[in-house]
Amino acid sequence: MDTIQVADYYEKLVNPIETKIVFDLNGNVKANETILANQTQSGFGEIWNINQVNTIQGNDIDILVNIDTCDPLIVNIKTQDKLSSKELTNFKYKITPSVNLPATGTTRLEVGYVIPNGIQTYTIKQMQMK
Amino acid sequence: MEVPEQKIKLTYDSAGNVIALDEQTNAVHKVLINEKEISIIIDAEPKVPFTMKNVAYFHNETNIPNAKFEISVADDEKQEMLTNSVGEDSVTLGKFETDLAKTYTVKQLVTGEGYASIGDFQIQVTFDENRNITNTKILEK
Repeated sequence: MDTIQVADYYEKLVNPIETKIVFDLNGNVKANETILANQTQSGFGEIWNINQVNTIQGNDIDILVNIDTCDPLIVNIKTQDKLSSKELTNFKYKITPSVNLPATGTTRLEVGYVIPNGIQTYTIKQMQMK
Repeated sequence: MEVPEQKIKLTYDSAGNVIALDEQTNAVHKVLINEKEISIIIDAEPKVPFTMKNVAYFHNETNIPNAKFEISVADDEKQEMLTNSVGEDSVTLGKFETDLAKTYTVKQLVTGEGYASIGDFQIQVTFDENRNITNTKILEK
């Protein structure tokens, strides 16, 4: 079963994160040694990092994971006269929903972002009339 | 021209590529799907263009500026016109119909300075089967 869940519009991790933890004789996490031990682990320092060790909870490590947003959806729009099929210019549109990106434009709009394995209904609204 | 609000429904695969596009409204058409890029065509419905010229009754060569009119069509659509320095203004209003005669009503809201108000009048526009305008006439009161 896939137990990984990612927020909408964010990419899943390609590979699982594997971390090494170094303990002292008392079973406490050794901060520097743990960080050093992970230098050769896949994605360390880029996709993930050790944020803190032995915080207020004690005997723990905090991992920071950098998740990329999905690529935007590119929407190319051609507007044409319904009766003559002649191409029309200067029609400006806005597409919703869009996260972080305004998703506005005339012929090429970037919509943020896509929903892997999902279905999304978008609304295309004319912003200015000609 | 005005494009009504359109809706499309996209289905994505696990990589976030578009695998299906369903047009939810009738003015949008799918053209191409290419991974995270789609191409669509949107139809814009043209409206019937009207140009009004307001001139003096006794001296037709005298243009009347700053006269305001309202032109409306049966389906509650209406536009205001304000004549410019040469007594003209233009608007677009109402769809091009098929095999139909449609009546537009003109009301004067503000007269040009020094001129009497004119009463409401109606214009009948006739369209053929290809949505071409074949005739226009002022209806008798």
